Amino acid sequence: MFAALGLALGAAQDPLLVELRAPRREWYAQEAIPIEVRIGVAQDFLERDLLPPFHRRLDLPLLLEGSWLPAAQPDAGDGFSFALNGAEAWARAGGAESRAGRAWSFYSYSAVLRADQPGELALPAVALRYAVGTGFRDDPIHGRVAAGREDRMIASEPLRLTILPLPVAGRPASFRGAVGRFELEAAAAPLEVAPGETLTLRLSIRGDAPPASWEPPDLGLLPGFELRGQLDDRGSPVRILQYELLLRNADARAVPAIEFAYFDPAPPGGYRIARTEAIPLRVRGAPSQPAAPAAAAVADLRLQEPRASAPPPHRLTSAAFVLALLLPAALTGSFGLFQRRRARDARDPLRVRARRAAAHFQRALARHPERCAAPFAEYLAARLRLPAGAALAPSLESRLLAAGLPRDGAREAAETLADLLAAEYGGPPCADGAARARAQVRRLERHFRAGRPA
Amino acid sequence: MIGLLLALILQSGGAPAAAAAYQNGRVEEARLIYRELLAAPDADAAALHHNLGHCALRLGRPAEAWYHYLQAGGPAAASADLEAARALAARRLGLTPAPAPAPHQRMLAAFDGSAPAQALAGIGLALTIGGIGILLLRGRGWLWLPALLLLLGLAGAGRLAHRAWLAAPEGIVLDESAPLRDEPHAALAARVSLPPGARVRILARSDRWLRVEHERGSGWAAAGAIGLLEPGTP
Repeated sequence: MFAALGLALGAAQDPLLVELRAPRREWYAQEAIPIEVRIGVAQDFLERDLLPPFHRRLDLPLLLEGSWLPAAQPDAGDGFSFALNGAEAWARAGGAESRAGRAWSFYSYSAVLRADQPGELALPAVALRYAVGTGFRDDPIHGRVAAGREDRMIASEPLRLTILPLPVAGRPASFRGAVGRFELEAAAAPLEVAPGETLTLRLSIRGDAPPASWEPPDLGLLPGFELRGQLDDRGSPVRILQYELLLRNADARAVPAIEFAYFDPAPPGGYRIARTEAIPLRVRGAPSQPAAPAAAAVADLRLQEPRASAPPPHRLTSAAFVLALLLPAALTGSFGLFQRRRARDARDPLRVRARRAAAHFQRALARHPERCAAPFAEYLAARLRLPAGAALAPSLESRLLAAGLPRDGAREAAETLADLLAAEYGGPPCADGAARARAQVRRLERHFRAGRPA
Repeated sequence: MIGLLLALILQSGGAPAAAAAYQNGRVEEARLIYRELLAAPDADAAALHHNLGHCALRLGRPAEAWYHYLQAGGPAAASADLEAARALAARRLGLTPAPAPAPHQRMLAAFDGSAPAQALAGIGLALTIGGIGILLLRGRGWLWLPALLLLLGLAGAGRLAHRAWLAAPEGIVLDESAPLRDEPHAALAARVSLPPGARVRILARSDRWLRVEHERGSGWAAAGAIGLLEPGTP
């Protein structure tokens, strides 16, 4: 059972021994290591030869010295008193046995240690000091009295242990340093709350680890609640935590189960999670103040489902930037031109007539090239700002000349119109009449659009 | 070994594996997978930053969470969940909650957070309507209205250009503290230290150092202590 021990027998032939023992050689960091100091002494030697080290009477007249041994806990009443580092301590009876024909009694003193860091841990030897009487004589009053006294000491062997680091594999994200065995209880009050109101959650954590060695659960992660405050009664073995929780979500129907991750070093050693039961709440419907947005604690946060393939992020390119500036400028400019033309048209309706006549001529030419005399005449009249029939008059050439056309152009236009009219009304056919008319209109348009006086 | 494990996880469906790890408390594992996914060229960066922020927050790294939440998107990608997460990270970092923004600040934030295409469309619209409005209302009493719109469009174009090409890149302090030194040498004593979550301007870059500027001062910080923000991050 005791894998590690350091043993020393008493000096000379004194029937006395002291040893350091631990249940096993390997321990985890922060694990409670029960160390036993075992003292054995022959019963007759104890009763007959040992003298008390102090004036105070002790059950075991022995002084145990080991600076690393923690101070003794008060006796429950069934211990055997002895001296530990100068103060009174109590050992438990550890059985009796017979060795070499003598009856031995054993006593054990237990202490719990914890190693902070992994590595080799060497516990120094402990010393057991005692005094042996010499030259005993019988005194009528005090009985058997020693004439002399001899102080002696024996020491144990040091105790070597191996401290292992806590494993990384399987460590829960919520692990906060607790090593040992723990139990969890939770209670909440009041159990009827409205969003925006607070309740107190009392969490009792019972465990064999000192409270300073671990952190309590982080309830900043509690779904639907916001942690407003926390009281910590660092008692041992029960640590009591009181959390003030603000209910933020009207959908919450309970204080969720609280989880507490710890490392249980009992072989084979592993991480465990202690859980409380969820505490049902009665949530009043109407919030006394507006509830906060959905996720007020980390545990409320919802993951997003990433798309398997997302388009690359839009980056601003200089081309797009320039286009974004030029396009409005172009639109505005176009609108300005349009507006200017509309104004000019409003001031001069005959311009509109001329434009429309040109368009009409083009359409007529495309549909019935053999009957384009009338549209051509209307075009010429519109451009000359005359009534429609005026173009048919013999004075057409002179009017075109007056409008600024060159002489040959004016003559050609008048002749083309005459040929077209003749062809339509029974005269000789004019094979190239349509082509000539188109060329005339093109030339006249260039002339009039160039701003020459109409 | 870890690479092999990650490869296996990714083969088995990266995002679902990460989500399962997250839900089962293996947050560090989920974080590693999301980071791997983020490195892909066609990654859904907004969602992955969002999830990485959650992982960092659960792992007790609020500065890293803050960094990811900022990258998760501007007002366009904002959700109640993201806003609450940002608030939570800010609270953990001890950042003073900003007072409620004035209307013009909200408009600026919305503009800064918008995608470049949206911003350009808005600018183009303002310039066009402003220009045409001036032409239409010339000589009338309401000319100031399109003129204002035109000016707003021009100002927006200027802001967009500054943000895209002229403004110094920014970063977030990820470590518990980021000591600033006069020169990029670790042996030099730190002049000032920046708190986690602090937003800094990147003035220059060296091999493993960044020259940063903050209201507390400027100096060289280890590049690993600063998370670089994408240009235009609000």
